[in-house]
Amino acid sequence: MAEERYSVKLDSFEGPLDLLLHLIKQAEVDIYDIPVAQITEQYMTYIHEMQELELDIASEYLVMASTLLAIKSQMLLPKQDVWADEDLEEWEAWPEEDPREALVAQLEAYRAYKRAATELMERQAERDHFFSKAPSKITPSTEHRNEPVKIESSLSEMLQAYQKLKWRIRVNRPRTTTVETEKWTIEDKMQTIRTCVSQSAEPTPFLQMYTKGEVHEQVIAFMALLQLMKEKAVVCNQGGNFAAIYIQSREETKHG
Amino acid sequence: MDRDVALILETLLYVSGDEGLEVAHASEVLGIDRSTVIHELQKLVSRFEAEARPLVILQFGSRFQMTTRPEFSDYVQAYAAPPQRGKLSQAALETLAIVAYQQPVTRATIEDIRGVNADRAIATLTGKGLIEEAGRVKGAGRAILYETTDRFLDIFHLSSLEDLPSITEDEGGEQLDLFSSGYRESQNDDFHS
Repeated sequence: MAEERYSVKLDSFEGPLDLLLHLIKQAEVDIYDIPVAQITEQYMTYIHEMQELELDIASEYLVMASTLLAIKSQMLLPKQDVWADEDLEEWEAWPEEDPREALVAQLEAYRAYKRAATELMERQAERDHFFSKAPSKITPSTEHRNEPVKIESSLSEMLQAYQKLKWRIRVNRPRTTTVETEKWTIEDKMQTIRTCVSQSAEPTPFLQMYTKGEVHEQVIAFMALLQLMKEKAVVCNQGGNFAAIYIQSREETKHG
Repeated sequence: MDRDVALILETLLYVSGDEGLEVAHASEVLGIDRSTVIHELQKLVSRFEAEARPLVILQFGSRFQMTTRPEFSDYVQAYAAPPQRGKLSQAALETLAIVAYQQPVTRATIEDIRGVNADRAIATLTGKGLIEEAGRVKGAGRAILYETTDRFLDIFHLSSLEDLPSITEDEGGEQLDLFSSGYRESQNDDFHS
């Protein structure tokens, strides 16, 4: 058990319920009789694994973790004794049923919709075998043409229209594309900036470096500068708000 | 007269293509009531089937669409190489399934069922025209309700919501309360919306 391998990619789960279903399936246990202690332990292992891999753990996963721990601790409690103790009023809030009940219902519902999603996908594949043509392009009849057109479209109708438009453009688009060779690379630009900055005794004005060439070149140059700053090869200085920005080689600042 | 209506409807079906012929629109053009239009269109569906025409007529919600026969899809694809429809992500599909069976439904309900935030999935589905807003919950918060569209029916090859596959399984013995929610009522005024 301890040597169990995680064969599933951690980020491939659709949420805590998906992960739980996976664990339950893997443990080959009945969804209506979940061994909470065992499943909780495995769930927590996954959470830790996610932390180690520095994956973003959505709050939903952590909420589920605490839910599992709550159920686990509840199941460990000797029920009868606690119930008899009238001083512990807060315990009355706990339902008398199996503490797993709500979770099981949630899992069962989620599993049903997962199944539905699969069915829908299959029907979509079926549908792909029917083909229809685009609507005919017909100019509206003269009778209607001069009437002012009332547009009463909701946002979603507009979105739908846009989606349809995009779809048509995609369908009509020729299946060729032009590949252009890169004229500028970040590496080259970094070298240019480095040379420029190290050769001039004075700090180089930022504007001088970026107001020439095509937009694309300017963007590449700017990215190169950011990279140089990240690598701590150059430093940028600005006297005050809206003042000119100067680029300096890191070496010079050290000497100066 | 009847024959004429059928011929006109067939013409309009051809012209409307994959947008589908809207019953309300056709009824306006022909000056006959909607139930007659539906009746005539359904007769046309059967006739196409009986005569084994190369085309079939599909119904989705209040729209009818003329398409090729699936038996010949290999030839269509060999001839025309139609582009693939973009596949929905698992998250979007699950969300869509919940909306389909529970509609009209709020985002909160979807999130309760899936256990994760549903903002992105809802935005995707709305953008693709598969779900739309269907008013708001009465009372505090006035949360937005979502329901599926005719386009949803089209893409998933369903003529109406009644066509949705059953998703309950016998194994648990417990029946899910999936069909009790509001959509049956909305079925009745399907063609008036």
